[in-house]
Amino acid sequence: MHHSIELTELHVKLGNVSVLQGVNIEAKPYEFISIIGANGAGKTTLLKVVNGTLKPSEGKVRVLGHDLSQYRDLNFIRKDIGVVPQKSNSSRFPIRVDEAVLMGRYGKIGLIRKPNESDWDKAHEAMEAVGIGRFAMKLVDELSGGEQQKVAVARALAQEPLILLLDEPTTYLDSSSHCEIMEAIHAIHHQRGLTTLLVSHDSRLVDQYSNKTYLLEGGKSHLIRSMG
Amino acid sequence: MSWTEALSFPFMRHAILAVLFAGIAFPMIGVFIISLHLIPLRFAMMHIALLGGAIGLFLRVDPILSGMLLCAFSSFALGPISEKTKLGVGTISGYFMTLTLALAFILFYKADIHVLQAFNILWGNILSLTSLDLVFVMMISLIILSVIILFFKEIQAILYDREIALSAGIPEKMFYFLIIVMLGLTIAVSMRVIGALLVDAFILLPAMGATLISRSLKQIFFFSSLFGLISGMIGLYLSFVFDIPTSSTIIIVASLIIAVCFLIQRRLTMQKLKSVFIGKRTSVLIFLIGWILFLNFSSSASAQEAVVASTSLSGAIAKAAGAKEVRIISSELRHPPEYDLKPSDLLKFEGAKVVIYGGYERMVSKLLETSKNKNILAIQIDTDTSPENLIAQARKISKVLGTEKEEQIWEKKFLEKLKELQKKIRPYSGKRAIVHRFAQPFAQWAGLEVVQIVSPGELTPKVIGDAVGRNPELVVDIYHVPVAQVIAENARCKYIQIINFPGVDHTRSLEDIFEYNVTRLIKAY
Repeated sequence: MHHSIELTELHVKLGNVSVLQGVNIEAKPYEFISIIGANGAGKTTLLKVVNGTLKPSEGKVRVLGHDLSQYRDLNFIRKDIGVVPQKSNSSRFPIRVDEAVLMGRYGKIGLIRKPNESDWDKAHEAMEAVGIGRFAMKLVDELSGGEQQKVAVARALAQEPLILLLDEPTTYLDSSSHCEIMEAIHAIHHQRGLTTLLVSHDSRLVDQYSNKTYLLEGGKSHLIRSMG
Repeated sequence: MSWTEALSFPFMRHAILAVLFAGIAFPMIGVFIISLHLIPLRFAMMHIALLGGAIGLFLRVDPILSGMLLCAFSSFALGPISEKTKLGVGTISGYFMTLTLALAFILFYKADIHVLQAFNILWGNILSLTSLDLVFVMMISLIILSVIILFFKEIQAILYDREIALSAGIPEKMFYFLIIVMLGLTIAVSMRVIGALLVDAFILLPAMGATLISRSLKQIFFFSSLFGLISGMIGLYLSFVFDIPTSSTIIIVASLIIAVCFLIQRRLTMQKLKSVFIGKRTSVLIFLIGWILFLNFSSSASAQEAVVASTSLSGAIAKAAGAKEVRIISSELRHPPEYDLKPSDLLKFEGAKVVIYGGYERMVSKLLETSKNKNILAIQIDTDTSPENLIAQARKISKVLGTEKEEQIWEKKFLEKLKELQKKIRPYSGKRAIVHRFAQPFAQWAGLEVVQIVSPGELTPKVIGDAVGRNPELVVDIYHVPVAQVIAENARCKYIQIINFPGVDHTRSLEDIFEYNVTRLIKAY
């Protein structure tokens, strides 16, 4: 079985600054991988490379068996990768919860075509999975920080991804919301058989959920914990 | 004239059609500007159009076409350049704005093009739309509407968050560039076709109002189109009824709509709003006033011997030529592109026999094209203000009007007046003077020793240095486009501003112009 994510001797430069200088990370299907590191260690950069939105200066990136350097347009791979960003709601216009979640399906629906009933069903399933089904008709702005983060997770799930990338999804939340979100993510990870890559600045917050934990330090990765 | 009668005029029909299309489609571009923080791009496009116009004037090709082409090309280039440089479109727009402005001014200077001439060509007015202008408005409006209807979900995702759109597998870059191209083209077309003032009224204001009260992107698009249409139509109607400048009226209506949206946003219920704005008595009163104005609007007289003059100067020459009724379009001394046309300006053409213009007021040719009066005779005159030329132009007009006798009488009086004034300024003749190019005819008539001529536009250090080095005793500048005060300050000499257009200090006739200028010269000493 090939790896879902395979990063080999990855180097990334942002301007003149070398952010990643030899990162090696492997994630097998259904694995929950955590990457921890201080602020500015390059965690978000790493996720962007996996998602194909940032090209590495050196090294190999294989995602779902595809060598990303071989493709010019990576939209086909992005459709199978759900992303939950650090900040959940950056919208400059009001939007209903169900519409925001449905957005996760837009790439799969294709250009010009409108969302059909099955797309709406998948959006509603995703909302139920993270426990925000009752907020479907509310505006995202009217929800609490934790609930908004759940909207972001639901959007990523509505995409029906094979890989889930989570960029410090609980940074702006209190500890009870943190646990609630992490429990929900962990449950979905198992139910849907996802490969999950989560970055965080604190290992204590994520260790209990992970199969493997990498430390990102000085631009390099170190495997610090593995559950076999 | 009633509103229904007014519709028989091509200018009014064109304006209504333009409001219908632009009012619905252009505010949608405003939604993009607000959501993606692209306001600097709007300014950049205006200056890119100016550079395009300057290139056109420099190469002697159609400046409108070159302005539009440069805008189109830039809007295609702006997105990819901002991606490559990793600077936002806003920052890149700032760069383009200053660069293009500087390049345009260098071209103006080198090709000796007056800045006003370039602005005049590029900035239009909704009341002077030609059929081709209208086609441009309709085309760009249909493109905007089709893109938004066909790709609403992709646009929604990009406006929500570009990164989320990208990670969902939407070709985000392609759509973002498409939005920038539409935005660039809309601004280029609207600036040219409906004027710089209305660019904001049609593009930004309705979108601002809609953003305040909407609960979804669909509602924002819907309300911005609705507000654009309402403010355009009501503004056009009110400007006709009250005979006030159209663009400004549309902007005021759009601003009022924003104020109402703000009140609604502040949780003022619709019930309260109704009682304030459409209470029974108030609505009856508003209806009655509107109806009375609607019925009673009257245009200016339509005497067959009427002469339309583009500016106060051509009006004064027409009077000198013996014209009995002169209708002046831009009677005030104003930057021509900023002259906001009123419906009555257009009606001045109706029933008139002759239109007199200097050739630099592009609005005249557009107004003639949209006028219903196809029998009007256009006379282009030379507006050099030397007495010899003024007399020659008055004679030229009098021949067309058949008023040679009246012109002869004026000519005699004019020459006598000049003789009297020349006596007064004899003590100042021979003064070493730096003279604005437009003030040259007066300086020569006054017998000043012109040691250097300065052109309108930004002065270079060399020009100022040279001028100061010539030890002038006097600097003669022009009232409506002064540039040379800095020379007088550095050379520590006298400084006066003279006029070429009557209007300042109640000046009306050509004699008044000379008297005013002579008084300025005498007062300086």
